[in-house]
Amino acid sequence: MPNPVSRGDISCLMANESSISPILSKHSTPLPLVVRQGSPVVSGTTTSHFCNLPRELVCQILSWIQPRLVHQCRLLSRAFNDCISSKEFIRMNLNLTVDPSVKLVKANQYPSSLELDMLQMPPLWQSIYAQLFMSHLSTLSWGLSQENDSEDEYDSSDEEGYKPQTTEMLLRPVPSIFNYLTNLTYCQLEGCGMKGLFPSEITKCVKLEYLSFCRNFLSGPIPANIGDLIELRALYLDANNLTGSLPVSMGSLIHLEAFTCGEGNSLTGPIPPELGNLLNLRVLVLRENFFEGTVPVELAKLKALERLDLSKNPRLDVQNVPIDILAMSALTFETVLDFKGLENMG
Amino acid sequence: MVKITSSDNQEFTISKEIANQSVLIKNMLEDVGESDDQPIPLPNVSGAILQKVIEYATMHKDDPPPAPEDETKLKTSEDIEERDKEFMQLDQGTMFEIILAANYLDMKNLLDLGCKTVANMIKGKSVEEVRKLFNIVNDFTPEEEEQIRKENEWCEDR
Repeated sequence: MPNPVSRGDISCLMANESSISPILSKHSTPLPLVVRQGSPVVSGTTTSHFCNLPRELVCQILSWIQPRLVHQCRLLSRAFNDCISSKEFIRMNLNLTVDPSVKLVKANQYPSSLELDMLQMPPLWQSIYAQLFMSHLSTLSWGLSQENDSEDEYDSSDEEGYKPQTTEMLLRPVPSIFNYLTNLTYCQLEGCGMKGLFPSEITKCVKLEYLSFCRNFLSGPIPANIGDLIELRALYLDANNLTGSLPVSMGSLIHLEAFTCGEGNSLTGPIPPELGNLLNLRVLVLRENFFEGTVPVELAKLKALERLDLSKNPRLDVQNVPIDILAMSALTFETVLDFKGLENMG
Repeated sequence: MVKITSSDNQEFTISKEIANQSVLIKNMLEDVGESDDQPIPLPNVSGAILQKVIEYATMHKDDPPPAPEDETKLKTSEDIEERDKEFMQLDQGTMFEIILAANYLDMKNLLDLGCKTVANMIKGKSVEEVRKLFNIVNDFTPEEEEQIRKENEWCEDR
């Protein structure tokens, strides 16, 4: 045995869990290593090897490599893959490779190039990114395919038939960031090409007052506990692929002033009578869905209502709309039901 | 002056300011007090490596105390002083021994230097080149490898 002190093997067993502090903390007893008195030590031994380093140190080394590049290192070996896939590594890596100035951003109006990068990362990375760099945000307003971001380019282009760049329209999986955006009050993610299930984690963002997911490709149901967002004043979910029924818990959203889920969703089931609790509601748009049953008479309690649109719901019994609703003074009759829709139903 | 001994019983006498660059030694000195003349045993570090570590600490003994960390500034592995770059011109074995020693001795600057140096050796190389450079054995099945390549697709579309 050329080397009696086999540090690597011992420390490998100590693969540290979370801290960045040294493996052997300052007050711990040194490992009881067998040291041969006066044994010759050759400088530049080949006994220490990348793979023999404790996992903690491998993590520290790889933390200096940008996420996109470091993912290639997963292919090196199982040990490297395990290390790079671990939460503690992701945290260390993002802490070193993400420009920390993003922590100073108060309101996020448009995703920076960093965040566009983040949106392509695997879900676990996104979620830790959000935890480290976005949890302080109060405003998130992303519109990746909005016209306003191409306006400057429009002037500079004389070509006929110029169209805004559509590269940002790429479909993206719903980002796994909402778990940690607990300070969010305003969230507008419209036309972002978000595809996938409605992010039920959004119900963790309990300070939300404004939430819009319009014009995306969200599917599945609205989370049953949407009522947890008790501060919500506006909820816009138009033009998605939502299914399922309206959660009864919506009746707890007593500050809600506007709720729209029209145009292209496929919501079913009855219109919950609990919506009648939302006394501040001014706008209620449920058009173009597959709601069933009758229009609940409780809606007549919504004295603040200015716009009610239940049109193009072929399964809804619109022949027997409670007279109380039709009599609501603030409403103009046209807005209650779309006559064309009625006629088409024959 | 402070006396330290390596795993192979080599004794080194160093100045206190050099010794204090190791948080481990600094804490030990505080624990035992000034008067103690006993050498501090460092059973995890060989004499040869300790020699290099002392060389590094001597080189940096006159460094100004580190400015309070600018938390808004991005640090990169390319950010290495020229003299440190030269210091790290070592064979791999020694390099990893120094990283282990810096970790054990709790010398953050040296540990960062070692980690950055290795990271820079990885950057810009293909997986195969990195495996070769560090003698890493590919222990994946072809299926597992394929799976990771698939999961990594997002890294390429830029």
